[in-house]
Amino acid sequence: MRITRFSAIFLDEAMTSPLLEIRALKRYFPVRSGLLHRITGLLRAVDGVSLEVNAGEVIGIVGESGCGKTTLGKTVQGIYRPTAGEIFLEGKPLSRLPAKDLRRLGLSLQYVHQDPLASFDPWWPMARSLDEPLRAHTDLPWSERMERVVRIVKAVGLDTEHLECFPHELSGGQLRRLTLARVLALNPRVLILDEPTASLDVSVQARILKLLSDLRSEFKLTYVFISHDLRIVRIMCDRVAVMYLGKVVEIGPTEAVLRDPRHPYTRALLAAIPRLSPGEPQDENLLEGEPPSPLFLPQGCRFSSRCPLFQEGLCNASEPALSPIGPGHEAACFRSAELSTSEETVARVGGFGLEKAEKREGSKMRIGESDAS
Amino acid sequence: MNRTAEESHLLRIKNLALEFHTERGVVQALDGVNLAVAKGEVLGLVGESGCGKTVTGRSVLGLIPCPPGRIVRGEIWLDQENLMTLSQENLRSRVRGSRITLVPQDTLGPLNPVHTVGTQMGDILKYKGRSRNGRPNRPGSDHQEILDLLRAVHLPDPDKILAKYPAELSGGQRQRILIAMAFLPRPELIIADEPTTALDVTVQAQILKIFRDLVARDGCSVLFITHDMGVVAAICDRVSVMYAGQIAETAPVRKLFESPRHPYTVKLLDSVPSPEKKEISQIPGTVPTLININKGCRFYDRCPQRLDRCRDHKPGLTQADEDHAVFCHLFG
Repeated sequence: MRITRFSAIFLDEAMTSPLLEIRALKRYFPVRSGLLHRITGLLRAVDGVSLEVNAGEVIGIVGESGCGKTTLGKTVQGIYRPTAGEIFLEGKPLSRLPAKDLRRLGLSLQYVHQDPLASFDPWWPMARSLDEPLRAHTDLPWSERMERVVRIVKAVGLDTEHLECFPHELSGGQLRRLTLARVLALNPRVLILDEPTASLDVSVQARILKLLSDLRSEFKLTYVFISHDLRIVRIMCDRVAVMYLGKVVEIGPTEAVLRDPRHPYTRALLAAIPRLSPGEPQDENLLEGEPPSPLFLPQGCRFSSRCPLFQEGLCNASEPALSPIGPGHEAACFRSAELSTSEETVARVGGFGLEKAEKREGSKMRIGESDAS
Repeated sequence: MNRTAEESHLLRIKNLALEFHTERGVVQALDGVNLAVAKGEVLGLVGESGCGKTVTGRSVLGLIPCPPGRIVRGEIWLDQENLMTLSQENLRSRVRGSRITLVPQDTLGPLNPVHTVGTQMGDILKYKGRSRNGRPNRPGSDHQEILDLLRAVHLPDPDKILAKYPAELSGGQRQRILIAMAFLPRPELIIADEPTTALDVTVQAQILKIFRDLVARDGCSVLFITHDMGVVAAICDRVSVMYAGQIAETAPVRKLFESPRHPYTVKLLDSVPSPEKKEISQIPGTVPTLININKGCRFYDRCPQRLDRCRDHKPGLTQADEDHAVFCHLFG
């Protein structure tokens, strides 16, 4: 079964203004210590992120743990209050809306938590957990709410019998489906999916990704897809934003960013992905060490402490801003021009998939022959 | 595989069957598992969660809680010694932590929160690592050895690290320390249970490289448990694919990736995302519960190429190639 992209369907809608716009969003956490509990530092989890999300598209947010992906998602949804910056949904600034309008408009922007087990009440059967948001946000009578819950549960590929279960009785994949069902019941337009396949086996992961694609076309959804896995982003996303220590360092159409990464961090992330080809030498762009603490950011470019292209006097003097490279493709690196991917690399990365598919085809045929005998 | 080759393997698991007795019934967690790890070899054990990978590793260490666990049949040989006949006392003093060590998946649980890293590493040499492999027993040599190993796992400032408590370190640093601890007593066999699963890809790539280097340095054998085919490709010499408590296929890693035979392996490889792939396929159905499971092939319900006899007859071993074993009726 194929997982395909549906962006073409929404193309006419995408022509208008962005559905969700994030402008220079910042979220800092104060760090307190000592006897008087004074603020002794600022943890800059999200440090000036601007994004435009068009209706119907899937935008991926990738980066290592601690880079601010989740904080970004939670701030956009309103779980955290932004330190600075503005979020526009359907052109309306969320922070300046009256509470009543915010409550109504906020429903069309839903956040799906990373840990499905932790996001359900362990003492409630699923029916009650799924009914709760409807009870809080709509005036529907119980029978109609249940009707809607059952319809959505079927849409995510589960049965009514699962509604009687408690969270611990369900598998990780089933819980994922139910977290999706719970937010879909509110008819959202944008879903912020925080690591929707974390801690799932590959076979279950494949099915959840397929489900997400199906739901997207069925309910005309827009996804902000937070993930640490570039392999999944490649499959799911139209555009991708790479985050490092609270900032977007590269953004662009998925294909452009992954084929021709112009930020050394994106390159390093790609190099670290384990290949499915034993014996092939590991890429040499591997990073050393771990990201520095967001409490003490390096001077100048925040990637400078790990960057293989670090240049004294340039990279530690000022912080590079996102600058355009190709259509819709931007990178925040002073030396991004030097990173232009050669034809040779493109051929290697592009050609490998084909070669592999042919080999697999051959082995299938062999199985087929022995089947006949 | 001929007799002498088999004897030359360091670890041999023969026909291991393991049950857990639960309130809901008997869970047949392992059913006729055969594995052999040669000296200096990295054998990957790969499969989805619940397929019995970890339980297999724990059985080798004699760490199956009993009850509810019960080893029904089978043998586990480490070199010339049958581990199944050893008492827990003997296992603890002579095997666990000295001849066989474990690199766990969780990095916080296995480290004692109230002792420094240095104390915990020193204890390993004090109680487990003495008088083995002609190790010199000079004052200060232990400390030097620990420092060398911490440098080998790419921890900067090893002296500072030794004075720290586990909670002061990041997940990647703790995993490096646990790897160093596993290599410290110079074991013959290391059981690595998903050592990189909780880590970022960038750190995972570093850890895998360190692991390879240390294995090459010490020449020990490794049973590398993982669910990630990419990790298998990066580190293993041979690989066994497990499904629902049984081995489906065992082959050298290159052969398994280039010409997988068992339908489950084919499906599993197709469902792994990779940077080269734009689409992935799914395996229909779900992993069966291992309570009162059918007698035949355990993959029967999900297999796209099942035959009639697969339902009632357990597939035996088929040698698809000299070093490529498949448990599937399609080849038998």
